[in-house]
Amino acid sequence: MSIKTYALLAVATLSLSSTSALAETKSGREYDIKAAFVCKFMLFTDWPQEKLPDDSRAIVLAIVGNDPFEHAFEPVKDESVKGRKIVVKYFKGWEALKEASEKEMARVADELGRCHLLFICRSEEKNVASILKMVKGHSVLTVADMPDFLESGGMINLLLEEGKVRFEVNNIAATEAELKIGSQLLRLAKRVVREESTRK
Amino acid sequence: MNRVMVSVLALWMVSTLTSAAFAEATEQGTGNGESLFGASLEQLMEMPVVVSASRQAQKSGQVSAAVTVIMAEDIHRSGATNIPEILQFAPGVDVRRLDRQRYAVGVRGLFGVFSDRTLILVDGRPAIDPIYGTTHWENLPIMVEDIERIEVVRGPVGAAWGANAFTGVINIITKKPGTVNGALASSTINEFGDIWTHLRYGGSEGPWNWRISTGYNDVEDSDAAGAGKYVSGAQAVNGLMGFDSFAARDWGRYAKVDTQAEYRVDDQTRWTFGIAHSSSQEGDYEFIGVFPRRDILTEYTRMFARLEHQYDTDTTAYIQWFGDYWDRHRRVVTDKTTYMENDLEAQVTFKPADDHTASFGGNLRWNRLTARNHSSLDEFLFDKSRYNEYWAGLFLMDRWAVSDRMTLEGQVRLDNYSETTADWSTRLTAMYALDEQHEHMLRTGFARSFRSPSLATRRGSASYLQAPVVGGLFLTRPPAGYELDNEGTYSLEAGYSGRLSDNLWVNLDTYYQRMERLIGVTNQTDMFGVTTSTFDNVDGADSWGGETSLTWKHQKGSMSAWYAYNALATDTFGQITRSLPPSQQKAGFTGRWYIDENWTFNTNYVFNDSIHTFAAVPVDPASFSRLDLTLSCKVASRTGELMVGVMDVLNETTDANFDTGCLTAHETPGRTFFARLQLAF
Repeated sequence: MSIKTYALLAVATLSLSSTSALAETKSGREYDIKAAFVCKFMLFTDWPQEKLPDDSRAIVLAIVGNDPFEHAFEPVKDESVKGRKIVVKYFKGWEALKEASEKEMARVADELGRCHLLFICRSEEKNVASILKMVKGHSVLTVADMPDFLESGGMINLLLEEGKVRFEVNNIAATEAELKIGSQLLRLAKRVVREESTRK
Repeated sequence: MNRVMVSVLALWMVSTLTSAAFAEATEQGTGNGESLFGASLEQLMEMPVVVSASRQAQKSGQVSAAVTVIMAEDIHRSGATNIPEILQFAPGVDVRRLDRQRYAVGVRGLFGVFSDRTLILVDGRPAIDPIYGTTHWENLPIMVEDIERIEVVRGPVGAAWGANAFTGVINIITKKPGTVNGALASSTINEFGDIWTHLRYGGSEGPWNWRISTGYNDVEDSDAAGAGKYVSGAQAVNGLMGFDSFAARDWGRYAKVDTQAEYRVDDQTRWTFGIAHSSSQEGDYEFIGVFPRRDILTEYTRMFARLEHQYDTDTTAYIQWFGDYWDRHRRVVTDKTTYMENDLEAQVTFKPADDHTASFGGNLRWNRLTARNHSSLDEFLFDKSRYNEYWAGLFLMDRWAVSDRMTLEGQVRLDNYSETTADWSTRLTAMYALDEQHEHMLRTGFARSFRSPSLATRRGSASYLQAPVVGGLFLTRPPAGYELDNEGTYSLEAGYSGRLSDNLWVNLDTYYQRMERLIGVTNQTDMFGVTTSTFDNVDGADSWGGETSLTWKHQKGSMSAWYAYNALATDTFGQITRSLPPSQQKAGFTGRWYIDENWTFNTNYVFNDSIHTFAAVPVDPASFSRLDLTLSCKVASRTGELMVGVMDVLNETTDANFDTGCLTAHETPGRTFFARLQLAF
């Protein structure tokens, strides 16, 4: 056996001896990527002037339900998008809100209406319609990662395809909320729900 | 210390130095160090988003040209150590290995080591030698693991990129700062003791992202690797050439560095800078019967600075400068060639109306080319020692979403080259979605491009042994007062891409391409039997064919099979076009199996038909099949990977491949075992 072959075998043995598996947290990775997507959605969406009246106003990201992101948004909490600081707020799910007082419910509704992007967690799948109704008319970009979210009136839905994150857009809902979703987002979306009447 | 010991030491150091980082890496999980928030939308999607067909980002199924995208994982799993070895597995790309460093590469044929009909880009910036019009693959200051994807566009794409995208474009897109944070160490060694070593460090701090890569490659010559038998295609002049003393000097040593940095002024504005350099020492090779047997020394620097701004959700713009500096000593042939290239380019993308996405822009380029002939022994001569050339280009494109199903795209470009005339390129494409989800797309298009004559064809001449010899060979430049015209080409294209099921995709592209005024060679033999060869615009050619592929993806793996039929016929039988015609039939297969979360098996197969060159080269390239196998395993708490593999299991790529202008060729090693260790921390 030549010295070259010995060298190859030595390298292989050396490396294999240090093998030890560490399970990768697949879901953690998925939500790291989804968190990055959520920030991109903020970057490529325009809100009406009254929603972001001056440069000092922060952009508020609200998460309602059982939070799957864990610490995924930590890196951006001191960052800014469109020159505005990102603020992340967490809210309990609908079932917990229903049991709260009317005053508390009103307060939460008011806060959700003031946010700019609302991420509805999968734990709220059965209550999507109620949550969307709460923010209707407040120019809130609604995002989720659950089946039929667009059909329920949501605006952007994240999904997994062959292990990669994709997204689809309901531009009708966004337009009704006076939001303008950038063409780059629309171009890269897997599916875009549009008004037929806007076609030439 | 011999080369094998250096290789083993490098691998041992890579694995040992990281042992202290294992615990930390374990706490960090995979230790991959990717920074997601710095990535672009396209990067996040890890989806082959194609920019090379039209300069606008498009989803791979809705591109206005025939395109194949080779992703980083495809490159990584292949075990390939250079870019041509990766490209040979792409449909419609002809690749022939000439020696251990040099490859003839071209899209849909018309390829050779001096092939100048396929435009090669790195991050959208040309990587073409303006003296010879070719790409020196081995000298590119790029490490294979720094490539994010390679976009291969088949067909004339001059409307997007200007002159010389005649048969296609290959755009090598590198990983951006901010997406590869942390350190990576990689070392590959094969059974001949050849080594490829790569160290990379990427980081982010506030508004800054950066990555620094260094690499060193040391490849032995074919003789030392057990292959290297020389073959002569001009036995009558063997004595004159000194053929009996020829030895395969196709070794190479390359030191490379590639740095990029990004500064985010704010969310809308970004500066990106880069400087890359390769310093190489190579053996030598025969050309027109001359074999200098002297080392080739090359210094190659590429630099760029780019400012991008997003005005609003629909409007973006960039301005970019790039500069290339090349210096090569190849004594006896042409002692020293250098070029300095400076290019300033700008582009604006905006929405003039709801359903339109338009881009316009242009570039200015200045090339200073220097060719110094040291002595009367030099064989390839230029009529001056210094040339200044200028380019100016303007382009406009629009993508119109006529309806939910129908999209039209138009591109037009005008280029003015100081050495020829102004010329134009265009691409008009219609795309129609057969379904609401846009999973079945039809595409049809028309394109026009041109190829400008390189300095070597306009001003180069060569004489065999500086004296007329019976049966000898002269190459001359065109007579004074006569200038070469641009080559021109038109193409008609049609294609379909569709998703047949959740896991199955099919792609079909067909084309007909008409080429005019090809710059070839005309031969005249005088009464003394002396042949004079002259570069000239000869006749045209017809090219036609298609590529089809079927891809199946599953959580546990993927398979992809493709077939390409690329035919070419010159108007005059046997016309020399300074290149090889395509291998008429090519087929390929890639299979990947994720055995479990640690082990991955990959196979790549390609078949190339033989090529009938009609005496363009002394011996026609034969058909071959190549099968590569790799097996990877995660190591070091999954922060690293060990790969073992064998290239060319069937041992069919050893043949001596002749290139145009070469009278001899030699065999190269076939079946090769290798191992690679990579650690990220």
